[in-house]
Amino acid sequence: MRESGRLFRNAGQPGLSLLLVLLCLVMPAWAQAASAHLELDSRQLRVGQTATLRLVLTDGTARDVPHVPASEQLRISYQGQSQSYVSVNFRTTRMVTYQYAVTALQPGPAWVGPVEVELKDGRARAAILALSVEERDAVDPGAAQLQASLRTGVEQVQQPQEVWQGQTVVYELRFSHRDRVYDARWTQPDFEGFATEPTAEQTQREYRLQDAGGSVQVHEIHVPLVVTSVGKREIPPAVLTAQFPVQRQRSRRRRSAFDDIWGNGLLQDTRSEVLSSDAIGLRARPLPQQGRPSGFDGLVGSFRVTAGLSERQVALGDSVTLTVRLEGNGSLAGLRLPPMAEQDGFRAYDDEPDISGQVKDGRFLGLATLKRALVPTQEGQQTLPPLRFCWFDPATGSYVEQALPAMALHVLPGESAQAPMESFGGQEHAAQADVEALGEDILPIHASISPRDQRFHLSAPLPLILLLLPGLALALQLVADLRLRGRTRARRLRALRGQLASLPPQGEARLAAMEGAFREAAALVIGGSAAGITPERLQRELPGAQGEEAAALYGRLVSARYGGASPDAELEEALLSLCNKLLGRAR
Amino acid sequence: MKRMLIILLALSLSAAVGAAEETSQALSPEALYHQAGAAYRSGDYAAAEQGWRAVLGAGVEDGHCLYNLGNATYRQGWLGGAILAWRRAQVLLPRDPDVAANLDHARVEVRDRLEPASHVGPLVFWQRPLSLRESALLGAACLGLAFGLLALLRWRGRSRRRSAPGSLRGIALGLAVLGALLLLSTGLTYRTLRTQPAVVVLQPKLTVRSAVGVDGVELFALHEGAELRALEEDAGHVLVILPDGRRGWVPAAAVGMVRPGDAFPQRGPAQ
Repeated sequence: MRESGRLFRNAGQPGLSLLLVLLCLVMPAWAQAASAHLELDSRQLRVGQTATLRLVLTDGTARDVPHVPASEQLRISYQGQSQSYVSVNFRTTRMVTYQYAVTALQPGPAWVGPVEVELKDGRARAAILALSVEERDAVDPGAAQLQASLRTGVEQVQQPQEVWQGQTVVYELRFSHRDRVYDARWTQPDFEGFATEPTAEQTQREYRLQDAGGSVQVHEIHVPLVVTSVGKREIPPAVLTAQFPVQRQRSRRRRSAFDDIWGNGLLQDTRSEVLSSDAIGLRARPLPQQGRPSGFDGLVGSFRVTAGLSERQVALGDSVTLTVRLEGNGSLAGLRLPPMAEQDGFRAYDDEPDISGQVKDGRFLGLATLKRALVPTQEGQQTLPPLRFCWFDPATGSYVEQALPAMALHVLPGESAQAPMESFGGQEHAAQADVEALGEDILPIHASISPRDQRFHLSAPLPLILLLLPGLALALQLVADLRLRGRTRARRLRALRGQLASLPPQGEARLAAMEGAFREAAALVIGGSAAGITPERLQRELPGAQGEEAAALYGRLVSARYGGASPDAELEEALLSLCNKLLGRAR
Repeated sequence: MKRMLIILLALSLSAAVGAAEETSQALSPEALYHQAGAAYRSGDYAAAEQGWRAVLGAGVEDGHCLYNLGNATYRQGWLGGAILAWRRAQVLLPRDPDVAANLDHARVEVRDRLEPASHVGPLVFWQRPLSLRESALLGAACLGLAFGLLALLRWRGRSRRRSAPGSLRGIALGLAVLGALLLLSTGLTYRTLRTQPAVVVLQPKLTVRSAVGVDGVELFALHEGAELRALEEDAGHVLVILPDGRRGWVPAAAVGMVRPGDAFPQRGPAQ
């Protein structure tokens, strides 16, 4: 099992994140029970190093900044807080994150927490975190390092020397460096004697530690594994190849804006460095035979079991859903609910289990949700037989047996109570098959209708009526419009003739009246309004020589009236003649 | 004279009695329709066929009656007649699922693998789910609505001295275009149905010749139930064309035109 991969991930898309946050803000937050937990970037610190600690408060509002207790090897200082919303399946969760800086002061095992958070409506508690503080690095605190370690779900920081068969562990590869790194690729070692946990994937995370020399960038890879064989085991060293920039000799040239572009690794000289971790040796122990419960089916880890019924009262023949949740630091792959006997008063139909796993804070966390539909077969007060779960807890080295408390269910009389109930699940359902076709035939006659003539005529009355009546109305409108337009035109002609016959004798008024009459006559011929008459329109829309003559006369009239030129009798005569010609055409 | 009067009275009485008897025997198309249905259900398919033929012969061009007639002929083993009746029913009832199902069922039994000819061309595809009556009515309604809207807009514009909103004029124009298109496609489809309809082979085997009469060369053979298209009719023969372009003449009596108004052909002695 050998696998290689890039160590660095791409940054997220800020636009999408912003959109999601806005979406969450406008959605109503549903009331949830508040909870709190601690997250520490690194559980291994050297004296003088500072790591970031986060207290995440979910769906709750603290009265004040929570105080985080810690052991004497550590110093904790509050850095600030932030708030975020997460929406999953239209359920919005509000998270307030209080950030602290944890500085290691003395070597030795250390701890932070537990934290009691005073909420506005109650309290929340974050569990304790253990970590180890080591002496200052004697070599070079800034040198690139690759460390591999194995983590169990147990809250301890020391490398486990022994693990149990079936136990889930997390292989952690930690690459820390102070210099910039352009590219880093790691080669996964062979995990002989281990199997990859099927419900969880390999994860990565990055963070920074602060010390006297500045900041140290840390990349961590976590691979969840399940111990499959017993005996002495060794996980060989992991290998990582990283590209570091080469420092050039200083030149006298000033930095330019292009340095940021050239200096991003594309054109930067780099040196390749191969780092390897130490091998990890440990012993895998077989699960003890002594004390092994009869129902044990290989569950290894520390688990918490909760269960609930969807209804406490049900009609006979209807079903209720039993939901069982298991969570813990072991693998839950392949888990099933313990079988239920028919004589228990219920018939049981199990859903496909929903089993998942994740690596969080370097620890594996398994979660299983098991659902069972229960159909009561008897009326009255029924008690669900207690379900038993047992597992081997590596922390104590012993088997744990837990029985869920018996749950009562009141079964009311139902419609199906009178009839014998037949099972519809299991083999009977699987024995069903598609309906077999024995033959084919035409469909039956249309008997229950009255025959009517559906003949199509081009002269069918209804379409004609539909078409002709509105068409007639439109045609009448058009005729009326045409007649109205004709009458209006005749009235304008009469008025224009009268205007020409009674022009003022001389002066500006005569010129103005002549221009008005000329415009009106031209508008009657070429259409539109008198105000819209221009020499260009006259030339363009009146035929041939008449257009040019009209444009020229109009130009002379305008220059006589507005340009100061003196009007002459010849111009007036020509204008009157043209107006009469236009009136003749308009009629 | 008296003798003449007696003869005349006797003649008029006998005529009156005869007319009364005829009235009692003449059933309405609806009664004939249901009587044929009863005969069909009792298994007398020949009587049912005659009943539905009588309904159609009375001038009632009904899609359901044609559908039932197709069932009756199919039960009597006349595949060509059944397909013809169902095709005619489909012209009047284009969306009826029973008609389509029976046609699909019957086409499986047709020996010739041919794409069934249709009177609706590909350019007027929207006519397929509509009967001619429906498309004509729809087209007339759209065009009439457009005319009415335009008339209303003109009237309002004149009374209020302002032009109508552009959106209403756009709707009126769209309706006018839609209505004109529907009426045009209805006319084209009607023309195809009258002049170049689909035809169904009614005989078990039909030889297609290159010319009318015995001089024509035998080009290819078709079998009962094959649906193709007629191009023209001449002297008791029909020029038919296959989807692949092959064409030839066949006797008009050997095929049935998919024209609902035509008399439904009788099953010939050759079958």
